[in-house]
Amino acid sequence: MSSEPELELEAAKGPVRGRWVDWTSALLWGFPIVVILFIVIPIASVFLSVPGSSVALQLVNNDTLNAIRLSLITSTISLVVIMLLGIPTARVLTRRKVRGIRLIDTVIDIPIVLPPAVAGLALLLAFAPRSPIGAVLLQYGIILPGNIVAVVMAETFVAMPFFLRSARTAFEEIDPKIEMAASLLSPSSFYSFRKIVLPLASRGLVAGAILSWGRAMGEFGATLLFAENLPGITQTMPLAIYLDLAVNIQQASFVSCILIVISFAVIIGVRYVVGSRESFGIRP
Amino acid sequence: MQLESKSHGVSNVAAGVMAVVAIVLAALVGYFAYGSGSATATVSSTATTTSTATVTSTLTGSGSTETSTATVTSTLTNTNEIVQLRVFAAASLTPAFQALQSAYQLNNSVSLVFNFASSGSLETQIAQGVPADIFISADATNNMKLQNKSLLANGNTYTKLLYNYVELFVPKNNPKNITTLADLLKPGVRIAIGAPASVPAGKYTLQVWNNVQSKWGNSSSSDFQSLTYANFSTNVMTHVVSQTTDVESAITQVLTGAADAAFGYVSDGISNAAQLYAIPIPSDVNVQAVYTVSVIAASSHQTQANAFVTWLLSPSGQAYLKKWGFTPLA
Repeated sequence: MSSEPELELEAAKGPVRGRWVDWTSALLWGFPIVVILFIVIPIASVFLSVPGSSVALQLVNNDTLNAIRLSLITSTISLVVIMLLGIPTARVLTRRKVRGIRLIDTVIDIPIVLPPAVAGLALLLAFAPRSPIGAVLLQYGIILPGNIVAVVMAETFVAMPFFLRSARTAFEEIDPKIEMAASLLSPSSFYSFRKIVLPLASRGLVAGAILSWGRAMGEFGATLLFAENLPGITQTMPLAIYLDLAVNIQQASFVSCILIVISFAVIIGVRYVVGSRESFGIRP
Repeated sequence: MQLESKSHGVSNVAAGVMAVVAIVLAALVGYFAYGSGSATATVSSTATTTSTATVTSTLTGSGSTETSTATVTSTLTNTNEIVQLRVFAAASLTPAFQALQSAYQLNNSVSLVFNFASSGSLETQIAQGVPADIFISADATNNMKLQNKSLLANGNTYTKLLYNYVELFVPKNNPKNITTLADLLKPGVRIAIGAPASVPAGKYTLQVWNNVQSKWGNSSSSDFQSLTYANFSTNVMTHVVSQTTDVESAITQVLTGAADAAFGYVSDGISNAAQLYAIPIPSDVNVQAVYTVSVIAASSHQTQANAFVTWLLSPSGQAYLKKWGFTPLA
């Protein structure tokens, strides 16, 4: 009887630290659980709202197939454009102490904070036939709105900053000494860029490419205003989903599922390919 | 460091120039690859311009009988090429137009491509020179705006197409038990409407509220019902949780439960009859939405555009629209 309080005291003394640590780790694990549930529950709800597979197959119509094709084509072209423009841009801006670099940074980031509808309006006012630039294009018979080029432009506009940001970070993380050594070995700077800098930055570049491709794939507001919602011509998957909401919410969630599956497949595929290539090692 | 970055800069500028060239080339290739369809369409339309006179004359006869549609179809079947008509239509027409699309395409050598959005956005797009052949607005205002800019064909005119009326929608299970307009003022009721500034349905909704207040809520009015409606406009506005970019999105808010009630058109009730319960708004306070249609002056397919408008105004076209809850002109 008399030993009981002692035991209690010891028990209280001993594992105090352990118990406190358990609480913290449990609490800490709570955060990722909340985050993951917050992402998974809405996505799961979309999948659960779709009827059985036999019914779902009837939901595949021509417009849906066109939208899938158009989304894949435009987001891929956008990504190519973004990388062709973005890699040199990011490289030029890396570790430069140029006056006004902060201003350049801000300008590049504008599309991230710009509401997509505003981006669409801006593109419309800049390139529609009634604008000064559009008027010039019209003389050559080029009308951008209502054309697939407008979709690519809208997607590139909103998705580019995401690539530029990760590309710059990737280039900046490379040890300057390695770059110096590389440039000493070979007089051609393009050679060292291709052989040393690009492979070292590849992880960041791929991450940026996935991010901006995904953003391009999901682009809605700017495309709706600038490229219109023309089935088979400019109607990408998000626009098809938006239109389906007005007619058939099941159709909308079915197309949403396709969009989610395609996006998942591409992201996992790219990660897998890049991962296996990296395991072969970079040869500096 | 300095030297290294400088030399990289040179190669990067070169790469940048190359990239710009590549993008311009890619854009041109893309444009011509995809623009070829509309290019052939232009050719075929010039071939049919000779028949324009007959079609416009039938149009001024404003869809008199089936004989007028017959002449139109006969002139159209002369051209073998399929012309693409871009129809910019108010969002509320989405289900009706999608339903009539295949039937009309089958009988006429045209392919209808719809661009559904709020009438205000469509007006902005057309005013900016976005290629469109036909514009159908859920009001007269947006067609008038284009008229003021002299952008309409057929002597810069537009015509009435059909009528629609405002209706209140609640979910089938109606959790807030809303059966009258007064129920909207119950605490906690969340309402979705189209943004009045750009969405005609939203504008008409506000007019309905004003009518309710001045007729039902005014003790000196002959339609006076109850003092509950005395400050209806202001009071009901405090319940609005969402002003959407088009009328369909307001309805979607109810379908998803984000709102307890939404104001839309009578026609919205047809396509959503399975999930929504429609509460009619009495005619003494309701507002008549007049849909207007115009052919765009810049359209290169005016013959076919006029033919489609003629068909919409014909008894068969009006009957189609009536099936989807719209009120025909006659």
